[in-house]
Amino acid sequence: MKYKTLYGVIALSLCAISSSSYARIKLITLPVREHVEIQLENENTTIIEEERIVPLKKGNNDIDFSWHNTSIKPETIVFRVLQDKASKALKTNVLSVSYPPNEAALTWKVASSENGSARVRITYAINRLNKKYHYIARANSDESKMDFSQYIKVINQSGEEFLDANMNTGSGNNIALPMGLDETQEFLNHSYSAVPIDKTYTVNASELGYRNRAQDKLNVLMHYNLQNDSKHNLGKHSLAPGKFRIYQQDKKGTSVFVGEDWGQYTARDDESKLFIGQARDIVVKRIIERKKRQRIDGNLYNIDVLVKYEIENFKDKPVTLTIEESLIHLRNETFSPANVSPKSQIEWQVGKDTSFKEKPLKKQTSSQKIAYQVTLPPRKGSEKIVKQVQKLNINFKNEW
Amino acid sequence: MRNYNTCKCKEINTSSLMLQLSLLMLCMIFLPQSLMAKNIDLSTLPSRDSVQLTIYNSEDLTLVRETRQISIKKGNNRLQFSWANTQIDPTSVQLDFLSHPADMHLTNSTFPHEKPQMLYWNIQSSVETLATVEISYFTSGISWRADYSGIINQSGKTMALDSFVTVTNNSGEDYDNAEVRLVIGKINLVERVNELVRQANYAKDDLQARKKEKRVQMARKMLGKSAGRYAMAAPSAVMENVMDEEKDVEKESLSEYYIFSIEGTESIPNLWSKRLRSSFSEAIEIDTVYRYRPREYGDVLARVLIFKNDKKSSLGEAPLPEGRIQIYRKNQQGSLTYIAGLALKYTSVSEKVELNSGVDPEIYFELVNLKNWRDNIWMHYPKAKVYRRVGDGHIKVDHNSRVSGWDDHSLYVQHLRNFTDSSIKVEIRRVISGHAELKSQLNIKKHDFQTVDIKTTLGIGEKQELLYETAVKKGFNAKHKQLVLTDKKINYPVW
Repeated sequence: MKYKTLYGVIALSLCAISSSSYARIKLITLPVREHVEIQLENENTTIIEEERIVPLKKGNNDIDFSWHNTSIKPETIVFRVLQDKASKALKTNVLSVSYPPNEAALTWKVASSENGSARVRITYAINRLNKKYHYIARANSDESKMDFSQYIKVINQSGEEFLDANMNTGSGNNIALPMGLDETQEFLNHSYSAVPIDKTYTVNASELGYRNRAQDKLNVLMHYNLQNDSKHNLGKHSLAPGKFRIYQQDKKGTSVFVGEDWGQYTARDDESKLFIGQARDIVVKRIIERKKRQRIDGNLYNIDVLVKYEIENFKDKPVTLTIEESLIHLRNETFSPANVSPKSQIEWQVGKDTSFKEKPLKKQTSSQKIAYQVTLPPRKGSEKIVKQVQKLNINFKNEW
Repeated sequence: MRNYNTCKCKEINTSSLMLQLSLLMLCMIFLPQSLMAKNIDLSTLPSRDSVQLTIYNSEDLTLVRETRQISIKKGNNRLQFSWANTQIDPTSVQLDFLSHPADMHLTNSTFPHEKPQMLYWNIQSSVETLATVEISYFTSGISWRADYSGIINQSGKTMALDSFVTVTNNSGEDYDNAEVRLVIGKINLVERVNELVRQANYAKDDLQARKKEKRVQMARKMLGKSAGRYAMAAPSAVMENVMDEEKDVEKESLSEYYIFSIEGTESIPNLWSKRLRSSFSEAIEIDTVYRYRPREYGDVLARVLIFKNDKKSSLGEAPLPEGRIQIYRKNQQGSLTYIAGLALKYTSVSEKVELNSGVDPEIYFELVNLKNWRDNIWMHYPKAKVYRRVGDGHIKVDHNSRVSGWDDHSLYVQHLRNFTDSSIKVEIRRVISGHAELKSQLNIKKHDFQTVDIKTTLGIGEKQELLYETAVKKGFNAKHKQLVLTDKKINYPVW
């Protein structure tokens, strides 16, 4: 262990003579760190656990612990005497902790039953020793499976070095890595191979917008859906939030970068959706074909709206497309706000002119949104593309 | 640099010696009043025999009681008490005779105008003796606070709890070997001590203060009083024959307050802090409940750790004073994992401690409004001055009529999924205001006239969809603000 300055130093004061203010003559021993663990498990707080063997004399001992130029959170410091072979013969009591003025230090007063050595563990939270997760993913050529690796980057700006540290990532991994001052270490935490992925396409006029508003063409967003469970060769650990960079193998076997997204925290058995990019070979036109307001009485109306989607798949593969419609947006879009209730609660029903054969998707449908899924056949050679037309009829009720 | 501030008691001599010089003297000679105007005096410095600090945490206030032995002669005696560069409230200084109370009495106290941090006591004694006096005063600048360290065991069922008290001394005075008593509770003060000190110091002359300090330093050197960081440390371990035990902190109630008395004495030099363990409980049973209570915890499902300050938890001896608690969890390797640093509120004996340890990403929690509809719509016809309900038939459309009353119906699903490795308890508090009805077959109880608590438990990996419907009367239909619960099976809607 190298000490440039006395930061993070534990010192046993054997003799202390003080004549004035802080000038002091003292003899100290510097018990080295026997073991250091950097705990990265907590999302926001990094914990250091260090073990040192401290020589103790029978009676009362002062143990100094100082952390000049480091950013330890003093309120989190925990001092424990471990019951191992070395310290078993000793009985110890921590009598008090004293904090000197204007110093990043403390002194434990420890009573010992015998002369000997005690193995102590000091735990504390430290600032500016942070971690970031990121993922490198490689999808296969038909985008049915993906290999990916989770990396952890640890950035040490804490002002202290931990040269014999074990990184505990909280997911069963203990990795021995030295952390120098102002050093950044990146390491592979987990690798997952042949993870089945589900590639989907989504349109939503209000949330995802238009590719060409004048031509009523919607943005078509492409997603990879991951299921963090054993069926999908995952499910051993939750996936921490971090950037996913996705590459795909081309026919020559080389990798091409296809997109990136921020992966959200995904618990075991939960699912995750990664937005990769926009699809240009799927064209979805959205047109409001009909809007009709029927007065019930006075200022009370029902509103009938028909939305038409014209869908073309120029890809040579079949695709699954999710069509989402924000219903508040649709109501506001079809009738000016002056004529409708400002209420956020809307009453609606699916009308009889709806052409979707399947029921709305249960998971994505609520009072605010309706979603349908359609399967689009692939383009067949140079044959004319089959245009699929779907209609959504919504009856807004009791508006005023 | 350390300040040699002092609070001292001097016995004053009539003989002339050096200007402003304080000397240690074994005899006591009294001073005629006429000589007081002169700056020539001789004094002795009786040291403190004992000192007791009673520290209040609700105010910047400490009651100091110190005893000193002084030589008293028959007749008039004059004592000088000064407290240069300290935070003592001059209006609170009191003198009591612990020995010979019948033989001596305090004639008067004089506060010299040119020396704001000083007073003279004139004592009339009928005997010549060595008397024990108690000087008491309030000072600001000494404070104490509680803090806690909790380590949850691997099962998550019990927690080892260390309670600490930390005393910080910024009063300007060193207190060696002081008995320390800590008061928990909120007292009433009509004037702050530090404000009284500030007022008293207002007229203080800087030059005078510097001279006094120099004199104090000299006196201190001559007294050989040790100061500094290691003055408080036990001299050497080898001198000890018996191992010291941790100090006991005795807890007792007094009026509306609790007093923690630290066993023995403690030395707390100026600007230092000292932390002592006030109690330890090895295995407190803790309960973890996931709660949705936006008013208390924000718009999240909070993981709340609950334990009781009672005998069963090896607590309950006294209230838990307000303070920060750091919570860790012991993992399989015996290492500690950090959970959270939280504020623990004042907790009475037998009261529950509830600690919000934040959001657990392993619990999926989402409320979805599945469907809304309206009915019982009433129209107001201003010309005819009548109300008619829509759908009652035979309505002639009147373009001037307006909706005046209706019922809003909403169907909700509360999605819950437990991704953790243990079963969990969930409590959801929802406010449904107005003239409302809540229809459901869930475990729902009313918390107040417009709030309900929904309770459920989820096994490992379990997913639940809690369905309920609300009907709220609006406009003309609303008659009173009261929520009614109705037992009704609610189905997932089909669109």
